[in-house]
Amino acid sequence: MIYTEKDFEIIYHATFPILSRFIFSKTQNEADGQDLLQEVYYAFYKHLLKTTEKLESPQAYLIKMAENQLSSYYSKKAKKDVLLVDNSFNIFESIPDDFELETELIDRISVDLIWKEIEKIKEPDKSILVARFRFDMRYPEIALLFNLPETTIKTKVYTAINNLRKIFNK
Amino acid sequence: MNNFKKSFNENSFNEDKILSMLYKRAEKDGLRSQWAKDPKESKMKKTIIGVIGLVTVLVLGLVLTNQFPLMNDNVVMASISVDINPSFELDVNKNGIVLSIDALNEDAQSLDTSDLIGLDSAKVIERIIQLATEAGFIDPFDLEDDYVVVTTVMSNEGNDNLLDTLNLQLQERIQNSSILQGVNVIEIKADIAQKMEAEGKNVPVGLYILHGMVTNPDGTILSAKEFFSKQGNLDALKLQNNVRVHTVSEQKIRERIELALNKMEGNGIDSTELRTRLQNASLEDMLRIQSEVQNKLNAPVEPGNENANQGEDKGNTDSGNQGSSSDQGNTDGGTNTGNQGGSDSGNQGGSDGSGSKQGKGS
Repeated sequence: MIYTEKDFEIIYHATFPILSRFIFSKTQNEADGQDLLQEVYYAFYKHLLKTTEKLESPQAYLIKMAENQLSSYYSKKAKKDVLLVDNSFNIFESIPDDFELETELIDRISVDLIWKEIEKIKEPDKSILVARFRFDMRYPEIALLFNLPETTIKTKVYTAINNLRKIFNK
Repeated sequence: MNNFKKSFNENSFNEDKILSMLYKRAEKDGLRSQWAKDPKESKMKKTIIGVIGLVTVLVLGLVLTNQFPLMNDNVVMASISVDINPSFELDVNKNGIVLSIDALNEDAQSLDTSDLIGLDSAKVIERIIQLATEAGFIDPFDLEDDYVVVTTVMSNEGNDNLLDTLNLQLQERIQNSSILQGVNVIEIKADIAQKMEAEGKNVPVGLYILHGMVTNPDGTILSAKEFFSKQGNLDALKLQNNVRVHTVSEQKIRERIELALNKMEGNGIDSTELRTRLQNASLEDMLRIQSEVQNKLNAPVEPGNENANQGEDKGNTDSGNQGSSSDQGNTDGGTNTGNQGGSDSGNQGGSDGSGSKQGKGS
């Protein structure tokens, strides 16, 4: 055995930001993405336990594993075309990109309470929020990912935040 | 960070929570007990405890700066895509040294880059531009701006030291390189997911990032030069966070106008007035003069009207003011630019590119 559990942990922390974003962008679904991510790391954990050869690039290996998991995921689900075909898409549109002000208004509510309400939001709206606020994706990126016009994405985010504000202002 | 954002970070794709779930699962499956005790690690720990503070700090420093235990100088830490067209992909190590170069299209395959391995990335980018110029993909003496899109993808998100090194190397090189100052360099930072998406679609990653901006309605991708030739696109791009633009230096613009004026004179067109204006011209004035020179060089020659109105028409394409010797000059221009435009269009799926180029010389 050439790796230790500590090695796994180092690799895990070093690759998590990229791998989580990669898998999320491929599944466009928070719950599925998290499950797949866990599966990939668990398979990797088992691989490190058994392997007798050092990996040249653990990250490349993990991405490959993720791709394998994703192909079986896609075989179960109809694969979505991620190409943006919306002609009204305009990357230079000057709609504000920052909802910091709006989200600050619900800042006095505890993290757990906020999340409890977010969990009730239906897909794909919930995953759009995850893309925006967990992965800090920009609106054009999210639009591309979900195959929706940028304006629709912005409206969905804005509506979700407004609904939360209404809930917490009651 | 406000509570709203925090609720996402703590509950969605939470690094620690997922690790803890993994360990629980491994525990349940009886895997955790299978890890061998690492005698080396415990010895090392003991040694570290015994070492004086300064050495400890150094060791920790080394550990912290190396994210992977097996990292060495041959590990690829970033990929840099260089799209002119031709398009290349450079793999670099943690010091920004190029470990391998992939030619991404036919134009790129026609250039020999084998002697560039082992140089720093900025030097390699400069040499690629030089090779592309020598091969006719870039014409430094025409009056059109050329664009090089340099897209960096880090293997590890958050490896800011390497990103800083790469940026610094390129900026220093631009400051000191006449070759780099002669083209517009567009620096883009992309992530690995975008890179993989681009690879899946067989589009160079830099152009893929500009997706939506560079896609024709029929789905074909414009070349960088075709894209940036559209007014306003460059300015709009400058507003994006992950993009940095280095434009052609004023000196270079002046030089190429002077060369074009020489060519005009060679064609028998009087350039005195334009030369006088060029002497103290601001950047804006220079661009205006450049456009006028371009129009004069492109103006069709009307038989029997070769010497009419020399030097009087400004920015008028149908002036008909060129001398008979201009036939030869225009043919030269047409040959050069036609070659360059043809190469562009060859890979970027369109006759548009070659059309715009050829228009200049015909």
